[in-house]
Amino acid sequence: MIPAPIYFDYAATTPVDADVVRVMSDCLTDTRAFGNSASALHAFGREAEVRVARAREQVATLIGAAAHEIIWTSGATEADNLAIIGAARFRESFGKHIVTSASEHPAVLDACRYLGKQGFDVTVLQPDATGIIDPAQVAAALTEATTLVSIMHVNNEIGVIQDIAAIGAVCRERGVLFHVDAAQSACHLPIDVVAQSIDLLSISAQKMYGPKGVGALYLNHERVRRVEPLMFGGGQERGLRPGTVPTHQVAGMGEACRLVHVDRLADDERIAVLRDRLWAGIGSLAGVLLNGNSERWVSHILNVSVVGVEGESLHFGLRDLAVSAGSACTTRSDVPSAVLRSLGRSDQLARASVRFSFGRPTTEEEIDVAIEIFHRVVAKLRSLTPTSVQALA
Amino acid sequence: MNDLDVNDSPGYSALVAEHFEQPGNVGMLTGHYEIMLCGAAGQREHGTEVIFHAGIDNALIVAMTFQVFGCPHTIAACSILAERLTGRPVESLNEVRFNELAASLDLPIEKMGRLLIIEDALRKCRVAWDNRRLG
Repeated sequence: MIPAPIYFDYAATTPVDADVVRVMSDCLTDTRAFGNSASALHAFGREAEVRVARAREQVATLIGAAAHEIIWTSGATEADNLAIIGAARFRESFGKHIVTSASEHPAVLDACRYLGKQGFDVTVLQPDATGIIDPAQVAAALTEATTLVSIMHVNNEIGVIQDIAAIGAVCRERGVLFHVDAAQSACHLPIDVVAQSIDLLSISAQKMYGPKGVGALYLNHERVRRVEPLMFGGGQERGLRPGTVPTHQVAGMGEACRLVHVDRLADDERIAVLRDRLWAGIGSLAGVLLNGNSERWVSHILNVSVVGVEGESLHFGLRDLAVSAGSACTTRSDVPSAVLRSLGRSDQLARASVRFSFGRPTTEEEIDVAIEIFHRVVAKLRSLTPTSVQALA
Repeated sequence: MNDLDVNDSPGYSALVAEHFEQPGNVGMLTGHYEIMLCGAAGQREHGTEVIFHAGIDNALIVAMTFQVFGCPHTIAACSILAERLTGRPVESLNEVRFNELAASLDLPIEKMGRLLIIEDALRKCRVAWDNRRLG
């Protein structure tokens, strides 16, 4: 018997891989590794510096970058803010127009809103009914004043995959910097910042079986010589993100990236099969709507809306499944998901939505339990409702 | 995987969980009664819709059921009321102490409006009774 609750919230965060824990623990217990990686005059600092450098190389390898193009941050949120605000401010003299999409993570949208209040002009593109941003939309939105486009690779709520290579090509042709939030994709999809014409990219360790509290920002060394820093201090990370680099955190992120680089394909194939099994099981119910695009969806996310049930009751009924209503960032809010609203879902359907997300530990047995619970809860809630809704069942 | 306590549901009391999982008196009335009353309130588009059905014999509520589209607290409140009012005089429809019900459910203050919808549905049952008597 599987103990409850069953974890289906891997898009929110992942358990730390045992090998990652080992690498981090080594940094914390090795008597020569506790030094400050900026203290290069002595062996303690140099040992820490070696580990930080190795991790930087591992992150760079995962995305096809050079090690010196990687800046450590506290996570993808900080990386998004540094990329968007930092790049916009540094290039302000060239233009003050930014393009993004309505389905971006709040870290991107709120950074853009902040810039809007600072006098920048922000164009927010609406995705189609399945969450896709057409590269032609991006092209049409660009002006002579556009300095930055930010489009996420995989949407954290609905798992839809954007064609970032095509969008990158559009931006490159027009001389506009292209930022990609890859927090949800780095663990699941191949990324090549050169081939995909990406100039800035944000990733997070906690989405890929690494520790919380650490992420990275990629900056194309030739096209993004610098960004305006958001913090000031000791000059670490080329002055772009000062503060003592947490050796154990970045080492953990490096190891997590190395493991993804080695195992991603096999993992993803298995996880996609589990996702499809769950969708086949719950999608067979009348009035269960897929949020996203089944032709372009990442392996580990399945988001559905359920017609005819009240959202809070749905989530309470599903409490033996650790799922998400919307994104982790917004779960505690009663406000319906902006991403689902951007797909055209009503407030009621947006509230009655559930995001399942899967990971390496997810089993077929857990999927089958989830299907059974989902059927039972939806049937029960629909049986309570006045007759017109019961016709769906 | 850690065996977490699934009954630890912040924001929902044990009473709410009990009536949510096993609501009593659900659906439409079956059987024959001298008078059948129905009272509906709320709008599904706004998140809460409640319908009570009451079967009346000799001015007594001999059977009461409900249908609901709403949150767990709303479901629990309807289940509790349908249970309590069964066997009571029709006048009881106007005598529900909603503040006490709210307290027993640990109802968050921001959800007090849902009890008003339930109260409206019961009041409509009473109005239907008065109209039948006078009519």
